[in-house]
Amino acid sequence: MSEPERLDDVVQTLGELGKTAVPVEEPQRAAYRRERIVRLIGSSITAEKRRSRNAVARPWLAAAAAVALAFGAAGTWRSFRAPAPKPVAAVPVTAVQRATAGEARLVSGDVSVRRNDKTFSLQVGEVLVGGEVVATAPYSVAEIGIASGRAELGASSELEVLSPTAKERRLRLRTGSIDVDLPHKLEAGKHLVVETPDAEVLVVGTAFTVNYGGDQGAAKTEVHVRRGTVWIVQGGKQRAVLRAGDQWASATSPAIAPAAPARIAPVVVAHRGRSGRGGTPSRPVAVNRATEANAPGADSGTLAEENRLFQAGLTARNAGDGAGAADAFSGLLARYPRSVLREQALAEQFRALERAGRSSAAAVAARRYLASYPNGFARADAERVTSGLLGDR
Amino acid sequence: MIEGGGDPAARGPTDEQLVDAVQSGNSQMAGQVYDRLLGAVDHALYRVFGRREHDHDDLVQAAFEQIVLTLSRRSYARACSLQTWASTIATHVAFNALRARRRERRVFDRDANNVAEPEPPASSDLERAAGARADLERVRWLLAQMKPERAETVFLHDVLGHDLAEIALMTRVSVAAAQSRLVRGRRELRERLTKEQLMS
Repeated sequence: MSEPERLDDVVQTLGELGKTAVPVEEPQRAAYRRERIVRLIGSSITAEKRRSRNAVARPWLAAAAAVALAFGAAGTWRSFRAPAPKPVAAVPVTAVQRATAGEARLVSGDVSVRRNDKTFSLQVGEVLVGGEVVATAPYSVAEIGIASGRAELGASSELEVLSPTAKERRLRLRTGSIDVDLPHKLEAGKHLVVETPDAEVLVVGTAFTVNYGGDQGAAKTEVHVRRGTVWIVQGGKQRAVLRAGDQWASATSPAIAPAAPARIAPVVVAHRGRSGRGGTPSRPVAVNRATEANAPGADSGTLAEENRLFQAGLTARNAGDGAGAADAFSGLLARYPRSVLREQALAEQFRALERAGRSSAAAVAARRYLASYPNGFARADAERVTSGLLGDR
Repeated sequence: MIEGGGDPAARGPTDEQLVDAVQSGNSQMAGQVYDRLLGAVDHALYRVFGRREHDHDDLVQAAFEQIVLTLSRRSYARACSLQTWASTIATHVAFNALRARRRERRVFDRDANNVAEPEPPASSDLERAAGARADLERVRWLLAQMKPERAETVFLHDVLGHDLAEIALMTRVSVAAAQSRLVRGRRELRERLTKEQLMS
């Protein structure tokens, strides 16, 4: 074959690459990714705006710093001339410049936080510095911003937020469920750890759910990974590496009572698709999602309860009780995240929150609706709620 | 010129409006930016890898981070469409990831094993199709081994169909330099293919 012909072959092969059909993505996965990346784009745009504003302000700050430095130098000169002060205990820099462990982004229902033996209601915007215990009552949820992502504490759950260190952020789930989403991979050597009484879940950059609870005095940890990879560690040893779609459950053990619950008694959260698994594993097992979904009775018996919660929400709404309706719909979504009534419940939730005057929470709920149902029946309403909030800023 | 496409409001904001919104810090447009550019990003990534890899979502995210950064910092000169700009960035992100994987020697060892696996008995059409797929895999692999600027120029031109003037603008070189990269890139690819055929 002559050289030009062979070159033509190369170009033709490359052209074939360009003609490769791109298959349509699974809508649920695409919607989930959209929610995550749109949020990231929004925060990147805001951060870049802030950065450019700071760049403008930098010369003024530099001048102010120079003046402060001059005063500082004068002070130092005076201190050399003064008698030496008594030695005092060194204050670690970390204690002064302690990084925040998280902040409350969304609070729905009855959520309390205990700090220094004082218990109070968690409010949106509350900064957690570490050492707090956040507890959600039944039908309540709280979203906490951590590192570059978020952790959503489910209903009837209790979470201890530990003080972050340079290398680690640690959340201790005492009971209930937590859903974590870290869009950004953490820097090398840094970890987020979700700890339960019998396992640790090491995170690099991923999305997953951890449940800790059980029946009749026995409890176990269950982990479900949606994206990325997590490590399961027990007794300091790596037990499993889970990838997207994997589930894992620890061996059932006597329930370890949470130390001094903040406001609520630990309530076992029954998760749809999990309660029906028969038998007790004698050792940690990785569970195939499809197998679990097909387990007999996995989904049975919840529809009546879902309907009841939904009806309670509608009754509260019709009675003009926006807050009560929002709580009922939040409760339904927290207990049955895969409910057949999910779309209606999400729509009613943001509408109820809006009626209750909780515009910030309404916008978050509306965004969640749009992410799950971009062309859903309440799309126009959801877009109005989200744009209304942004317009107010 | 009469523009088609129905109601202008239904078409959403123009590229210019989106870029202005990003540059003015309007995070309200995040969803519109995503919806406008996802197709270009997704297709570019898919064509580099030949499939949606396990970390496809992370790559989409990385591409969007770069896109927002370049728009905010005014690196996008508005000389080409926003979709073209997005596909260039996605291609760059994809080739970086592909090269990183080649270094890790995971993906391609696996892929090479797949290619070498004995195929079940098949009709001649199926054999031809399997052969064509293996050829495409080989081209992807070889592109990842080439100099980044050459591989990306060849990919943008011969796979994604961008013209040289556009590529020159997007990669910030002269048209002559872009053409030189294209010619050298094709030649290098052909040499690598020939060498590989001789070795197999």
